[in-house]
Amino acid sequence: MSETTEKVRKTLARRYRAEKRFKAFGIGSIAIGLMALVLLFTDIIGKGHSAFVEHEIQLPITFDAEVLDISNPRDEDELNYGNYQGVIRDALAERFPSVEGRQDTRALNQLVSTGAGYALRDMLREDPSLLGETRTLWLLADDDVDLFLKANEKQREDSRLNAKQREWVAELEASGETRVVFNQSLFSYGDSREPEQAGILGAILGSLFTMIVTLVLSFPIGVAAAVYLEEFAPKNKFTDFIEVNINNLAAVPSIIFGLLGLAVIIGLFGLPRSVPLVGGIVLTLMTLPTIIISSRAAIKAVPPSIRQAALGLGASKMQVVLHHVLPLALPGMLTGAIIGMAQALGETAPLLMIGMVAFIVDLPAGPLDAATVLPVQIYLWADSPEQSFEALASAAIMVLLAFLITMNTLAVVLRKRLERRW
Amino acid sequence: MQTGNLLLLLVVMVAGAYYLGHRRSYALARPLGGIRHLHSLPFYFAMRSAMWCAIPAMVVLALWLAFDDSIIRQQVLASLPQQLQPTDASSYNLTLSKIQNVASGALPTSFVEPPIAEAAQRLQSLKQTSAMALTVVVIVLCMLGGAWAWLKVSPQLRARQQVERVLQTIFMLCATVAILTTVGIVLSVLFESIRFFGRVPVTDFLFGLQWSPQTALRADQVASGGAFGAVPLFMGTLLISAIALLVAVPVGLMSAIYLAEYASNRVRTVAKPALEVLAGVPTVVYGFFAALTVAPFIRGLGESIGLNVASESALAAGLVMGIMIIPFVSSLADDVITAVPQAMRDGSLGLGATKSETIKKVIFPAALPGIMGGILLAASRAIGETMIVVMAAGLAANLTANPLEAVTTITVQIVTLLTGDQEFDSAKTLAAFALGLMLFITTLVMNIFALHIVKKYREQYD
Amino acid sequence: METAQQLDKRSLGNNDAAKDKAIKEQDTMTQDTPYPEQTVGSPYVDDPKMRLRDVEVFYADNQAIHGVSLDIGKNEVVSLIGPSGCGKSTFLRCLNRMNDTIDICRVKGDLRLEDQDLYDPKLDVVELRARVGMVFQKPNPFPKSIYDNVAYGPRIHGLANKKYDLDEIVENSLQKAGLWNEVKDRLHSPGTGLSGGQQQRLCIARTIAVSPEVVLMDEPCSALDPIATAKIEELISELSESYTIAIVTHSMQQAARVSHRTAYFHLGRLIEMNDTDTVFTKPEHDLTEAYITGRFG
Repeated sequence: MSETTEKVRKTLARRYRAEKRFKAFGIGSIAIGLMALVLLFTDIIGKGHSAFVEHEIQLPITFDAEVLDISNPRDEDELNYGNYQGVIRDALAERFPSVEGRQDTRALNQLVSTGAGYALRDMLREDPSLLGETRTLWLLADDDVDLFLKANEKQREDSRLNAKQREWVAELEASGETRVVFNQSLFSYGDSREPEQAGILGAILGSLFTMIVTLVLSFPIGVAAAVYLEEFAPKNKFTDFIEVNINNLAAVPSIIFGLLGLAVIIGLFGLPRSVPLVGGIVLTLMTLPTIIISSRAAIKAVPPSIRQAALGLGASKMQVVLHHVLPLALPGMLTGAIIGMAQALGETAPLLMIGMVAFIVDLPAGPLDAATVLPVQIYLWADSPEQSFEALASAAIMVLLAFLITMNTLAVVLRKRLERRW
Repeated sequence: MQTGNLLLLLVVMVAGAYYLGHRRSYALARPLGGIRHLHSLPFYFAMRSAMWCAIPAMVVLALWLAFDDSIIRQQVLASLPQQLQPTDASSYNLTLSKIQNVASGALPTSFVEPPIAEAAQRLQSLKQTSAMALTVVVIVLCMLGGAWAWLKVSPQLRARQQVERVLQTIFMLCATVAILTTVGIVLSVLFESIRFFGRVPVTDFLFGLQWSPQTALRADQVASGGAFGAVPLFMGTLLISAIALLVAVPVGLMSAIYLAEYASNRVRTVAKPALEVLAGVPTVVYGFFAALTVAPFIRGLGESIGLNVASESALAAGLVMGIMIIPFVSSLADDVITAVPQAMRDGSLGLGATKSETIKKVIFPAALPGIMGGILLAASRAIGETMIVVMAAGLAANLTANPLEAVTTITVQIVTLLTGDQEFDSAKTLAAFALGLMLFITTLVMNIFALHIVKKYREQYD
Repeated sequence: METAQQLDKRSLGNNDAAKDKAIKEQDTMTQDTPYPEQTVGSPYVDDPKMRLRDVEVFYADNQAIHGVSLDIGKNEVVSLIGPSGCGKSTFLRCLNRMNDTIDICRVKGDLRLEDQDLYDPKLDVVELRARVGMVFQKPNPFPKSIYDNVAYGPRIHGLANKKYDLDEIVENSLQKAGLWNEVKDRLHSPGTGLSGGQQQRLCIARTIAVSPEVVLMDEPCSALDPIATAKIEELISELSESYTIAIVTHSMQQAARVSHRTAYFHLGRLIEMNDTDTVFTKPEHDLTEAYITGRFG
């Protein structure tokens, strides 16, 4: 055995220990990353799943014309100003006849959501013959009641309900006068001060309009810019300058684009605040670098032989690009665009700058109506002091993530399906 | 006419021009013996007509719409009597919104001074005139352009070249949007910043230790010097970014190394996309996680061992930001590590080095410039990250290096200064732009430097 | 063969269209001339340094080496020649288990360094590679100083206790590689700054700094100019006094100049092995003759 072998052998144990340690660090790092991912998702699902359902309370409601102050249920004005809270109060008082005193009565009335009145109005509008009748109805519970019913024994001790309210709710629960239903308002309303009436439809529509504006602007501009840079741009300082700009813009913090939007688009051009149109323009400027970079990659992947073949037949440079390069590069460009859109959909900070944080109850009908977007809605709810909004925010996050996952999957599928092997 | 309808009309007219151009080229070709005697295909003649019809009109339309509001606004304000003329920016805004509200009918005329009501009327009529004029101008331009193009159609016309040149110019203009964006960013933050520095000296802003913008709100107190010292914000930003990098760099780097050098194919195909999911999660979700889960957890943990942890501790925001940056670091590191040629690995392994020795002593040093570039990019991202800190970090400026205390950052202050009620011209609002300028310059320098390093590094192995 | 070739390209970094052409030509050749049942000539020697029997290599399901058996004698230079893609590099990389770095590669057969089974699961690759060093096709100095390049092996293996010892090893190795006089004044400048030929000699110095018993060279001159090639060939002859050398080359002249014995590979099979003179003057097999007379390859 040679000297070398002997010396090497002496070091082996130490070196293999180091090897094992190093490898363990690697595995540990990946584990940390994956654990963070799992934690994040379980936390959000754990917090948010309960927001997809809500509790209702069963009450016999008498549509008393006198209490309601409605004589003709077909008159829209009378319907709108009807005292629905009054009939609910009466029904509650009937259900709990022992409750007396101002404070207790008010506490009792807080069990039912203020939104229940609108449900009664809608019923009456549908069926005017209900006036004077008594029906046993399921009414939306207040968010504190809802939270109390969803909570376990231990959490119930922290409920915002007072002792008497807890007693009443427990009584209702025990006698089967409460039930769990799918939270429809979540997907059919805009924001609201009352958690049980708040929905994300307004935010989803706002996001939709913003995304449409972004897509319509950023995809054609991005593709055109990529085509110019890849196919037509001369190699000079100006082109280099454009490239440096694109690369740097891709790394500029998103909030800076918000400042740009505030100062130029709103300040200089005088477009209104809080509207999806402005949001879309800002997000366009932000996603443009991503789209340009991925489109350029897609154009680069088209082999030069195709260009040469077409040029050889006497096609002009522009014809080569429009007839051959663009169609062949389109799948790659679309993939890039979808990924850019996904980025834009999750973006919050620049939209805060241009005022899309307003509290907006109405559903936006177009890109020029004041609106908020899904991520901003999440931010607003997460910042709210009421605990029910936390669950709503988590639910909104789940919806947002569902959108993002769909988009990214679409991009992957598209890439797989349309990928061409040269 | 409404802009939407005008656009629709424009489309119709352009389509008409296209059709007429097409027909005319055919008509001209027929006596010559078919379209092969034309210089270009009929399609190009038609496109040329459509372009002549559309482009001048569109340009005028765009410019008009971009500037008519501000011009009308000025006209209206200028017509106000002397005593009602706005003196500063806030009264400017107030007067303007008053006029607009009256004009839109939201505010009854009886509520305001007669000159304002007059101004509102004037605003209405100016707007109507503008809209009418716009319609006329656009339609005339459309027709003139279309007619001109139609007249010029001849068999010798080099229509294809012209159309292609226009298209190419349009492509180029699209590419310059990137430059315009940069210029727009620079100008918008620069102008407001200069105005800000007119009130607060640059040195006070850069080196002042006291940040309390609220004090400058009172009209009688024009930004007293100490109120806009940004050092606590810089320190807070640094603290949170440093925590984030302390988490993200080792974890991201080691993950990348393990995935690139050790992991079996099966592990790689699962772990890599899973880590990339972290990069796709919106920052607002991380902010939610940091503010409502991690921060209370750390606070509870600190209390259980007798430490006093702020509920908006820098540690919570930094940790979560670190998690967010992990995939960013790991994908950049993966790029540079796999760029190290296989020959290097072979050379080292061939001498009998173990895998970790090869990585530590050959691959890592070889990839170091690239990795440094990646870390720099990650740092710039951490500095510019907004939502996590807005939701999980503090609002009050606090000059401390203790990660258990609440600190505030540049981005948090920009958001708090610019959301909610604001006057456009107050020092408070302008301060946000000055902070934006700082943020932009810092990240720009870091990015340029990092991209330069990475590029140099790539070239080395190409 | 496709996967094998792709891997080949990846790991060796040589992809040339000529390779495909060569394979096609071989295919036509193969149809007329059958493979020998057994290797022609005298592949075995007494008391060999390396004894290799029935070596088979697979890339996934593709077999790249078919039952190759040969001996490498002590202090002998053996050259492996053959057309591109014939598996000679693959075979060479089995001898210090560099093929381990390719996941899908499997090696079968009985490969021994003296009495040590190379593919014994208990054998330590690190130790093996310290005994069987390798020089690669493309010069691959680490992006470090010349000194650190040569000192790398001794450092990781703990061969020098003191700085002084290390200096000595570095100087000796550089001298043996014939590079000392050219670089002694700039030992701490980067190794990547040397010329191609100098880089390759640096890699040889780096390999022999560990004092291996066998040095494997995988087409060490293919990336070099003729003058640099001549220097390396000279060096190989000198090194053969103290080391056993196996060299893969695609230059028949080089094989004739530097080696004692020559093995001719064809499509993963060892066709003929003999004294270098015999192979080049009186080839026994038709395929060998066809190759050395330049009818393909």
